[in-house]
Amino acid sequence: MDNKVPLTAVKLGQKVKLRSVNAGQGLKCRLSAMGIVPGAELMVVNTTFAGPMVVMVKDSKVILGRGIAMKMMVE
Amino acid sequence: MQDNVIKIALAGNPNSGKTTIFNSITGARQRVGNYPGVTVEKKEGSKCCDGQTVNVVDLPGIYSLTAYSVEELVARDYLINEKPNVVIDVIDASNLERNLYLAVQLIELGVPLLLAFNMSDVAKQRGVNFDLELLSKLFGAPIVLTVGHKGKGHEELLETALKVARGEIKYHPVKVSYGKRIDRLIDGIEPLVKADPGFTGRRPARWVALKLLENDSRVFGDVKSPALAEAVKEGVEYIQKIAGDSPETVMAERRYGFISGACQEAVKTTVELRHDWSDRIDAVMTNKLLGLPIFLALMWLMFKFTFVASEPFMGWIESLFEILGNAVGRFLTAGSAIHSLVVDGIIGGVGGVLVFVPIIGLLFLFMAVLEGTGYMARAAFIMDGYMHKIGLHGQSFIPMILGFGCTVPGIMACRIIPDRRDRLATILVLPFMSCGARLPIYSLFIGAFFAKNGGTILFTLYGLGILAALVSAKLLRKFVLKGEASPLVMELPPYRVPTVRGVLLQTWEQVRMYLKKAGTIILLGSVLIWFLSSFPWDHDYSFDYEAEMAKAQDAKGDEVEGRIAEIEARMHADKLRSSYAGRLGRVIEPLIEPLGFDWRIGVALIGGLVAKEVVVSTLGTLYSVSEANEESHTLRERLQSAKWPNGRKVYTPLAAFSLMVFSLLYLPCFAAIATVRKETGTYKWPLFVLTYTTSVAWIVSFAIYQVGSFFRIGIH
Repeated sequence: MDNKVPLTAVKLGQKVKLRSVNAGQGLKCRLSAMGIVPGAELMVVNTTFAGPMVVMVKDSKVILGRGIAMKMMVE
Repeated sequence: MQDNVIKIALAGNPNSGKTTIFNSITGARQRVGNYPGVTVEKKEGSKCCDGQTVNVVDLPGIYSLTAYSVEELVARDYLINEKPNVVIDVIDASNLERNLYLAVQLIELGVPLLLAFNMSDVAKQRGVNFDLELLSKLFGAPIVLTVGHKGKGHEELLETALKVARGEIKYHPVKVSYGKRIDRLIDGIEPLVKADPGFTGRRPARWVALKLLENDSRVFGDVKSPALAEAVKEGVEYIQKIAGDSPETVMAERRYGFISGACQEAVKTTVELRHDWSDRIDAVMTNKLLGLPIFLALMWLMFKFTFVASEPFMGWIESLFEILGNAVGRFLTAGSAIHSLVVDGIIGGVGGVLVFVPIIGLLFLFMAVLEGTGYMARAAFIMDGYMHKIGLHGQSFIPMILGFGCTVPGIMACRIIPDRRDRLATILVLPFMSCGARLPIYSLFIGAFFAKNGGTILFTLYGLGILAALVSAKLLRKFVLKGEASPLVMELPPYRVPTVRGVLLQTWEQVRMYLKKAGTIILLGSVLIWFLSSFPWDHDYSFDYEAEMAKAQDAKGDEVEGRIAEIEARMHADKLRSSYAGRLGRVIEPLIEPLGFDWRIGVALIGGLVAKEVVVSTLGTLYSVSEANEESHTLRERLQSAKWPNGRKVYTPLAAFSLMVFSLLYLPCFAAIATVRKETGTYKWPLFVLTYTTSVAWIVSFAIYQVGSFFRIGIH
């Protein structure tokens, strides 16, 4: 599958599936604990110009910093 | 442990309503917020129930039980070492799957578990129906529905908890399956754990096996036998090979799989998730363009409101203390040391601080409302981009906002920041956030010298504090704690209407702390300052004032009384200058004169090291001791008429502003320094804070006063 893009490239309101996260162990565990695991459905619900974005995962909204959103590959 | 004491631990995700339930069960008044991470330390409370003492511990809000964050470790260690009789996992039922992740980990830890499905009303509104019986079976734990803020279900919760603790409800922990191959791997490691002398049975073997496979450094450190270490290493590689990802991610995925499966069977949603009103508010409040202006406007409004609305109340309290001082003074011999102690020292000092209760109360009321609605988390979102640019973490923002209340809890809240350097940077700049104790100082000087544009000056001061914090953070990240800030990952809670009770409790908590401080440390400080400024009691005057007074009395004319008052004032000033406080003040006067401060302010600033309110109470004591002029009743009026020996006014608006800025920036109180020491674990950082803040304060005040004097701004 070659249609993987970073989360930052996803448009507002679009639903995507998380494929992989390229981050350190600690951060990955934090994300997992909040329900952001590979296979999870994410929906971008808010963005700012160069700052963080808000994604909907399961029934909660999570703020993700730009830095981490760039390292999350989705499809 | 005594047999008749039952230990209950409350666990749950941040913002799931644990603290509300804790307060309701124990009758305690802990702070409840609507943003993640308000509870960073565990709190204890107790209650008597059917002749049984029940100890309840509120653990910090956590998402999982890894070793990656301080609060998760605190919770985990408590559960393992203290072995509570029952653990209540408070679950936000409107966000079930995510919340059950912690429940699964608690099940694996083997604790006697009870699930509280909190906010069940919100879940119902969203059209969610739970098959509680089935869920209870699938997770092997009893479930109670509760509505936190309405107190619904709390009694049933406590009753059920006691039943679980007494073993009346049998507890059958279920085994979460991680897929056949991984399960087999775990089964193989379990006996090795049991055989390892490093694990003495406090922790269930299966849980240890899981944690080892998840690369948990804390648990791995206890491994003694090489056989176990080897098996774990092979196991990790094996999972990596079959699943193509690191074991901790794979295991998390499988746990969510288990939860999803359970929820598909037992939870029915009848209404499709639509845009709720929370989203609609957010469309405006966190709008790309409007978000920041709205945030700034709200902050400005907060200070304006606080200042304007508190004004009349402060006037009342001021007059009240004046009346009190006069009334009490009548019973004591005028001119005696005891009269001076009670009227000048105690009533003057403590009264001067109590005047500011309304302003503190209103500021915290406003903040409690903002926090209770969930706006503060939005503020973190809006600010993250900017915070990141200066090298701070988006989550640094919340401790910094807390710092507006008091630096100490602000520093403690830094524990929610996962990365050590991010955390350290935030702790070190936090003292610049203007805490509530500095408010009386601003309030006093704004009232006396900037009555017309008080809100703006206050906003400027807070802004200046933030600016100092941000610039310092940038410098720290550039030169000392080098590197990029780690990215923000934080839950955005839905907006909620804060309860009146919750808001008032939180406000009262702050006011109570302030009152307590006034009654203890500030009272002591006032008495100490009174002593230092009144002794030596018998002063050898270099000048014969009495003779001059007698001469003035003999002289006939209209100005006799004014003349006598003036001589008396000079006499008092002479005495005060040679008192212990005066001597101390004059030693440091050359250091602070370039900032526009006289020795009295020097003494007050030293007093402020104990607690910043003491600056105000010290000025209150010093001026009531020195002033014989009965016409200036309040401290404000006394400040307005205070003069340098050469007759120039001490407090020009410029000097007052310089003093406010210095008070804002110079070293925080001893309690804050002690907290920095505790949270950083070194002496190096508190020393750094001490020197750095005081240097910054001196330089900035010096610049303000000198530039202002040069351009002749605010010197009249």
